[in-house]
Amino acid sequence: MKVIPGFALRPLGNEYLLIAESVELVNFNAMITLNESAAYLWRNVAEKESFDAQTLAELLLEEYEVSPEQALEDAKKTIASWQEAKIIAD
Amino acid sequence: MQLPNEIFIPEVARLVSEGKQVVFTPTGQSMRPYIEGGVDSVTLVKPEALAVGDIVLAEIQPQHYVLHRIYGLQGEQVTLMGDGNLQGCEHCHSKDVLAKVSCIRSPKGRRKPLTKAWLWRHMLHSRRLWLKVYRHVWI
Repeated sequence: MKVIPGFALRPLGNEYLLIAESVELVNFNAMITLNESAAYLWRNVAEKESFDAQTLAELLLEEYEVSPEQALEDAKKTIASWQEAKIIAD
Repeated sequence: MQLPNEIFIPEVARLVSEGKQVVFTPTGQSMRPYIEGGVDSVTLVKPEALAVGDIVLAEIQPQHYVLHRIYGLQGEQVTLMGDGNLQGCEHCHSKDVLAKVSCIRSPKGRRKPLTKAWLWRHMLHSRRLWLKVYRHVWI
């Protein structure tokens, strides 16, 4: 899968906002919040041609003190939530 | 998703000041019948060349924001009022006007008329009745 283009990641308060954004327009009606780890994952896969749960799990293992099993579980949950939010596509 | 105004509005103001158009769905019913809170979305742009009848986003007190219509302009003093309000105006300096509404859209994405609401602004005495009719007929 890959990210749907046109979203910008912006820090706001203690969270991050993923907002539909073009050069001229920012649409706050099309946005979701990401926590720090989800924002880290998004930044690292936004430019990739494709990624899967294993890719995200490896990124989590590089950055956080978690077991491989926990990382894979979190990666799958993240992908499910991104699919639900329609910000990634197959 | 609802962000606290004290975080959300300054971000909107910053983006608008950079020259971006910002789309969001305002809450509250103080701009009925022109904007249905939580339903219609508005597009905000830089507040250049303010005029009576414009709908603007303004900081009327520190961290207290309204999206209301300009009912009066005297030099740099701006008088605001919600179209859905029966009484009570807000006052601010023109520098506290953060953005101006350039477009109102219904949930289906259709553009709603963006008028200066001249007649509506001058029928305060019968506004209660018309708002009642609006609530029963359109809502």
